[in-house]
Amino acid sequence: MNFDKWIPAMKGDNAMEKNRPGIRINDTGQLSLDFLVGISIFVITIILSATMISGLLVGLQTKHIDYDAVAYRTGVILAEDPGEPNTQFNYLTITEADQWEFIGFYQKDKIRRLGLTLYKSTPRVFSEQKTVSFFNRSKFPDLLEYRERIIAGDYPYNFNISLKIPKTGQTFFLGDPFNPNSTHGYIRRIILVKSQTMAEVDMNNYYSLIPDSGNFSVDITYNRLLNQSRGPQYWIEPPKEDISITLKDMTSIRNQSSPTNVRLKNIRITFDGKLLSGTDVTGVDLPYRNFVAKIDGNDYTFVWPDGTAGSPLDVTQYINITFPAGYFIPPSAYADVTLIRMTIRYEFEPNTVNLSSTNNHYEYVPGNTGFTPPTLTPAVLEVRVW
Amino acid sequence: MVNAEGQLYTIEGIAASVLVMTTIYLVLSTTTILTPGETHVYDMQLEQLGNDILGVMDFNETWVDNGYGYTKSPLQNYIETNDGPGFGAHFLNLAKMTVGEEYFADINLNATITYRTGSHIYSYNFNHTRDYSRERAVKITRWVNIDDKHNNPHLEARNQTVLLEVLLWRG
Repeated sequence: MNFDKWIPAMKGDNAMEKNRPGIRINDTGQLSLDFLVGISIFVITIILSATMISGLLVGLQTKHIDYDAVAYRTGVILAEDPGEPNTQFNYLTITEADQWEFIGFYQKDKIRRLGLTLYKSTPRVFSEQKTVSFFNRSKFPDLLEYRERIIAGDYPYNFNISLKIPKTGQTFFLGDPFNPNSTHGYIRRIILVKSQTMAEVDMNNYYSLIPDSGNFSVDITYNRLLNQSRGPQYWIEPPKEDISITLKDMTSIRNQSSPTNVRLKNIRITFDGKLLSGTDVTGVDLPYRNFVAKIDGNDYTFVWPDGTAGSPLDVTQYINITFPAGYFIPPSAYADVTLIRMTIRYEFEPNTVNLSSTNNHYEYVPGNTGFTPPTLTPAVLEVRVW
Repeated sequence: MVNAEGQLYTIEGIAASVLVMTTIYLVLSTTTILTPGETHVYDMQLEQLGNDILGVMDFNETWVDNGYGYTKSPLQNYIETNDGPGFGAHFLNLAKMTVGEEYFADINLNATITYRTGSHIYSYNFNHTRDYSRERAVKITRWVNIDDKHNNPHLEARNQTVLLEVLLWRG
């Protein structure tokens, strides 16, 4: 192509050559610096954007992987670890400070790690007591304190932990609110929650035509509950779990010739076993232990040492006692655990009930009528970290 | 303007830079870039899920003495009765459990049981939701104890341990 008509300066015109300044190529207004500046800006931008691409991608990638890794780690801490402190396997002589879920607000610094399984040997089997304690914020009102115990990292990650037991419909949440569309690390764990036990004693089975006793008793024999041939996931550990006993249909043992209803004088809890000092003890009242019983819908506090709730109480329907987890820790702490038997003795006014001394006893053990054994219920745990 | 000398103008350099930057911004902001590192994370999540499910299926709901002094797990029962569909349904039921109402891609499985007869090792397909055609999958394995009295025609009548392999993929 002929550019000559566009570039007259190239023809060697003298007048033009005289007027040409040093940095000008010709008279088109273009500077030789122009090229340098243009190409420099372009090259700088190329370099800059090349750096940015890798930076942006790497940032995107590592952050995501990092979040996922942290979420995975938190999932493992929660789903495969019993927390710290936790008692050793098969070592049941404990105090409240040996098991993190029983440590309260004022001693919370003793809790080093929060894990939800029963023992190290039972990954994915959650203790109901630990689960409830974990999602209850009374110990740690500040999320920062959770972070120290489940995230195990210096970077201030946000987290959200949720657990659902589809069978019962229970859902638990903990942590910061999250945006499902934002970048966050995620892990889902399928686990089992071991439920706590209870006994419903039908009093129809205990009516006696020839009454010779005013008492009814429920025995909790530790070595029958801590059955060594079963795994800990099927154990009942009275110190660590809720123990619930209901005597129902109380009128069925009423003395028909008595003008009054069944009348409860007191409820005593006694202890048989071998103290760590080697002394055998039987029928010792548990010292300094009060408890609450629900009778026909009303709560009554039974007070040590007599185990009375004031005046005798008329019972027409049921007596329920739910000993909260941890109730039996102090009385179990100074004795050989395998030999402990707790007896809950209901003492009625003798002329108001028809009970026989040969049939006035219920053993709190799986397999007995009315007993709900520990059940492993599938649940889902989700951990989100960002 | 460009002439025969191949010169670039300043303004064109700036324009080019703006163009490059805009393109990069658009590309990065509108697409999710999956790097090989990230697919490993999804594989890990699926593998963890599968392992959890087999672990959960290895525990019975309550203690039931089977006459041998222990409790049979659902996993053992499915293999002893050769109930592949039952196993698959139970597995997928657990796999779909979530806390919220979020949507998760369907999970497919292909389960194989490997066992020994005499001095030979055999395997058979236990259950599959769909034929496996080279999708990106993870494999989860678990050893399962089987009693001598069982109803699985593939296995010999003796106490034994068989290998359960589950291939899992999304889609």
